[in-house]
Amino acid sequence: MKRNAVVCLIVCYLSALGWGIVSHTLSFGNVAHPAMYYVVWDMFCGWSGYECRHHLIAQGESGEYYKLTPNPWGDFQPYGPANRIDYDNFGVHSRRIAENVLRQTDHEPMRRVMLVEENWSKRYNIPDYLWTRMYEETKSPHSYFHTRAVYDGNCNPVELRNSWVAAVESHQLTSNPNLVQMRKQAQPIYALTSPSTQDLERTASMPPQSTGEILPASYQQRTP
Amino acid sequence: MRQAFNQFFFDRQVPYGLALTRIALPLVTLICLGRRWQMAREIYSSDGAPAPLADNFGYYDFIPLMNGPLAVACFTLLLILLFTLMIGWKTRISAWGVFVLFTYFTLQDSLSTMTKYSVLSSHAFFLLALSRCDAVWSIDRWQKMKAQGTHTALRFWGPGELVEIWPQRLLQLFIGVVYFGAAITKMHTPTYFSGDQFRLWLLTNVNHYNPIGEVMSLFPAMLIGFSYIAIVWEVLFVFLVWNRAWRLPMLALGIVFHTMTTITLGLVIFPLVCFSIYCSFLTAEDVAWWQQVGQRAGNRFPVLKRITRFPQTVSQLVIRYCGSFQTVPTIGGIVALVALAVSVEHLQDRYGARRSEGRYQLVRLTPEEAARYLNTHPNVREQDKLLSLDIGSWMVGGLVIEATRTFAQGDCFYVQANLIPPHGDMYVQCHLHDADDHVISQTDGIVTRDSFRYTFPYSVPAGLVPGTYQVVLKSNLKEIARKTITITGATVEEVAAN
Repeated sequence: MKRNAVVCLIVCYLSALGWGIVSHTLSFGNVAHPAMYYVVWDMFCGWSGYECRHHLIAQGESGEYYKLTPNPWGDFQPYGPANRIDYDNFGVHSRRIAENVLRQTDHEPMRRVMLVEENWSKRYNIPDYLWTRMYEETKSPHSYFHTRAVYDGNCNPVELRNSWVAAVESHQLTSNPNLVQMRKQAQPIYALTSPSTQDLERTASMPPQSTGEILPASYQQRTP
Repeated sequence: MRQAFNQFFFDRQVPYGLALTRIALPLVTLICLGRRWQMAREIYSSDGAPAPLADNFGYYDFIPLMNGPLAVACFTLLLILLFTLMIGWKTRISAWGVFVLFTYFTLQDSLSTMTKYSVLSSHAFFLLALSRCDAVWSIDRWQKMKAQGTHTALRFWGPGELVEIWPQRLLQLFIGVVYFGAAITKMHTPTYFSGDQFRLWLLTNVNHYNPIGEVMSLFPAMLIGFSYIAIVWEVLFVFLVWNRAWRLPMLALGIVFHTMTTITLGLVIFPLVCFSIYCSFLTAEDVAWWQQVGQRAGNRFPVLKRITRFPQTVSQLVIRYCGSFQTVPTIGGIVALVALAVSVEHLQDRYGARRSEGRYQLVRLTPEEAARYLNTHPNVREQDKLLSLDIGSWMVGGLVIEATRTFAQGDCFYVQANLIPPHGDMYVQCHLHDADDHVISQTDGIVTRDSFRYTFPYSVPAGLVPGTYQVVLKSNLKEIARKTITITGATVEEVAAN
């Protein structure tokens, strides 16, 4: 009996590990539940070309700006020179950090709180003695700031944005005039009638009342 | 098949390996968690700013949060249980306690406690809790032998008990599966094989100090070789580590691999956790071999005797001070220690709420500073798109090896711009300037947004006057880098050949 229970346990445990491998390999259900973090081994899931740090800035009712990070009582650097908030890659937990700092300090009523990303190219992490060996130009580090999230005075989310890297990628695409032109000409459709039973063009040209069905907005616009 | 399964999982052995993992892993975890004790209220409780892992998956309020004093009490208890697990006192209860509390606290702080090494540790604690890792080298074993009247003084190498080996096998399989999964991740990352990902990782400053990694980032071609060795080892580990001939090479490669992650990437706890799990591969034959080696070395070199006797000295100390632990008084002591810890943490006043000068004030920003933070920069400077400009005659894995910057007339060399994404589509030009900064050659190309590099092949004309020249790289018509090269006359052999 005990042996059977142990065999069952072994099979279940190895199946769970196996499911993690399959799920991760096929990208199927690998982020479906927090438990998946315990069976998916994505230790090398990609590092940006930019070093990123996070800052929390608050604006008081008077219009004054305040810095919430590093914490006034001392920040925690768990794995190296970066502060705890810098590991919030998805910008999910900074709200709680802001809330805690505001709760534990004396300050005027706040109008809004901002989570700001600071990014710089990792080439500037190269120490000076190696820089001179590698580059002939002088080192001129430059930080790119980006407001990642805006919260109200009580730290409720008002506006959430992509990371700076994602925003730059998006900007590079949308600032391409050819793509912008093509996008302008595109007609998004969402066909509710089955293409097998009705001709698409015919359906598009029909007023909704004649088909008795709901037509997508784009079709309705094209109807003369 | 059934017999092989039974022999593999249900063979009865003295679990030396598991016992060593039981000693090593809690020690590493104590080092890791010890420095988090004073901020337990802030990072694990509802009185602070916890960062539950479940929030990342969209499962809000997945596990209830403790209030500050309770979190401090439970965290202190976790540290105590890690110690009792390490010495093997009430081992089964300690292991379950550690597994539950450790997993709970790591789940509540995904920013500064939960990493993949915490997950590895959780699995290991779970398997230790299922096992009879107290069957050797533990207070429990020593007390049992003492009760039976069979204990032989204060000996670390006391006899162990034969137990079924399946939890140890699961732990060994587990680490193999982890490596296999890590290899799959690398296979999902095409830039891992080109060395680009590795190079950026070496330059990342979110882990501990890694100066050798920074130096290695100057030799990207070398990284490609390491990348392939690592992935081949990770795939093979789970299949070969059982083979008598391959066991040691696989483990040795693992030790080298993890030591390199410390030196080059600044990872500290992760390798120590993995080494603790490697201990589970220790067998009775290994123990006997080490004993012999220790004795021989100690007899030959008396200086070494003190080192080889170190485990015994430590065990004697442990048994002297902890061997007589009685259940009720010790539990009373633990409760008192937890209560003391809660009081000390309260007196520490993490948030400065009871300071004589009052609560902390926020730092005010000048309008200029505020404007600096709140400005958004969607455009990247041209020079920030470049990681390196490499010049050389050889390419390995698509990367130019920069061995010399001196070329002879008629030589061919490559000028390679290595880029940092996101850089968008780029128009790049490569110019050759003479000593007076006059352009004497120019070539250009388009780099698409998904490319990590662009290479210009260059042939030195036979008639080019020997001297110093500069290769100038321009991106979108703006100069972003230049490098000096020297052109020499044709060699004597080449002239003779012509």
